[in-house]
Amino acid sequence: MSVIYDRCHRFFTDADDELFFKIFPKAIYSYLLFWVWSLDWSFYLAFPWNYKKLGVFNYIGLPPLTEIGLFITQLVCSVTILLALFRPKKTFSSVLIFVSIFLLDAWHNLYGFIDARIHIVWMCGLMSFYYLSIEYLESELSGKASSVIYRCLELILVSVYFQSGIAKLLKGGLEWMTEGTTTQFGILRQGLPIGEYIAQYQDIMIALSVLGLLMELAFAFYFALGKNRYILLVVALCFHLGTYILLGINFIHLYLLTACLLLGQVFPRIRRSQIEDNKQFV
Amino acid sequence: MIKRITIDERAITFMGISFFAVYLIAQFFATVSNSETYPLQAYRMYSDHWKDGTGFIRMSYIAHEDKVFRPWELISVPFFQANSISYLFIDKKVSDAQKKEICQFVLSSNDFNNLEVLYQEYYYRRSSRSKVNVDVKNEKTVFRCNKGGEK
Repeated sequence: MSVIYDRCHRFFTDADDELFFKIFPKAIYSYLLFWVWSLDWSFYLAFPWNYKKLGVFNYIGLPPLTEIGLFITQLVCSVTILLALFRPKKTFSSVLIFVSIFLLDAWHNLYGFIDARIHIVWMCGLMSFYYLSIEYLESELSGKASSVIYRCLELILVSVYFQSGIAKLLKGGLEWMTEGTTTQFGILRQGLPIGEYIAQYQDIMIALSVLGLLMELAFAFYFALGKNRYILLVVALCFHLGTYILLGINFIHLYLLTACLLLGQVFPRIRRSQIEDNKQFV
Repeated sequence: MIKRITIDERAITFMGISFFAVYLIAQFFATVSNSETYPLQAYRMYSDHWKDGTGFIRMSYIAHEDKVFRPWELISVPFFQANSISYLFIDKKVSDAQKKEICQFVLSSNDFNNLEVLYQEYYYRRSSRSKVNVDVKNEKTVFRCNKGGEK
């Protein structure tokens, strides 16, 4: 039992997260500042009758969107993001960001939007835990807590892809991959010029389907890859680039997390290997 | 002066284990049950297998100049929301008065005076190794309105 605990303890507390936590909060909060004001809420405000209470909101009762409610939430979110970006103390801001982003995302969903950004809410939640741990834990413990939070952020990314791959297998079966028709018709349906051109080539569509699904399922082995995790992160970035070019699907919060994890893993290794090389010459 | 908390290091590891366990179990059930329960929805984008010949529904808006627009071109809201607006025109639970409201909303965001909402079923069919044909069927006008508000 203690062997399992020791392994878990090492896994959770030995992450090389220093560079990641220098860049990720700035990246995600800057994006959220843009996101908060870039959404068009006019349809939601114009048709309150389209508001549907779903899931947990059936029980806790989130009020329908109103112009003033929306403005206050956007304002609170923006001010707290700016505070989190420019002030050294970030705990209170990060908690408020989490709450206001959750509220905005929930409103977005309860008017019929197909949810694709819920992970941003979990990311904000984990970021507030990160700042709480820095402020309230002793420095050595807070270093370990940030490592745990880093692993949890990695898990969110892993689950996005793996869950997506499993859903395809459960609903579409292996034919989803071998026939390539979902990819092909999906690209055609989106109607982007470059996508419409490439979608005429069935072999390419089958190849893209196979590679896409294998990439998603390969994320099940992410944690087992150890130092080679960066390979999957590079492939995931290429996958996102492909879905943006061919389908116009843009998951910026996932690019940001993937890119920051990649930078956080690759650069410290380069730096360490350079230090090792320098030692040899001394 | 902030009072720093001292906890056992093991508690931190157990927090990580707990997060992993709860998150994985929740996501597992969301995926297997194809859940629509926000915030634990299953990822369903492009997870269906669209076989050769699969049909789709398309809603288009035709302005009085006879120019056909895709929904996301005409309405200044992103693609998914625009689609969900369009599908309300064929939702039996949505009343004619509500459809008229949507029509006016769409017209108010552009310079056209008349709007025809067109329903189409279209089918993608692979005809050779490197060609896809599209057959449009059951085309019908489901709603018509003008800036004055008449249907």
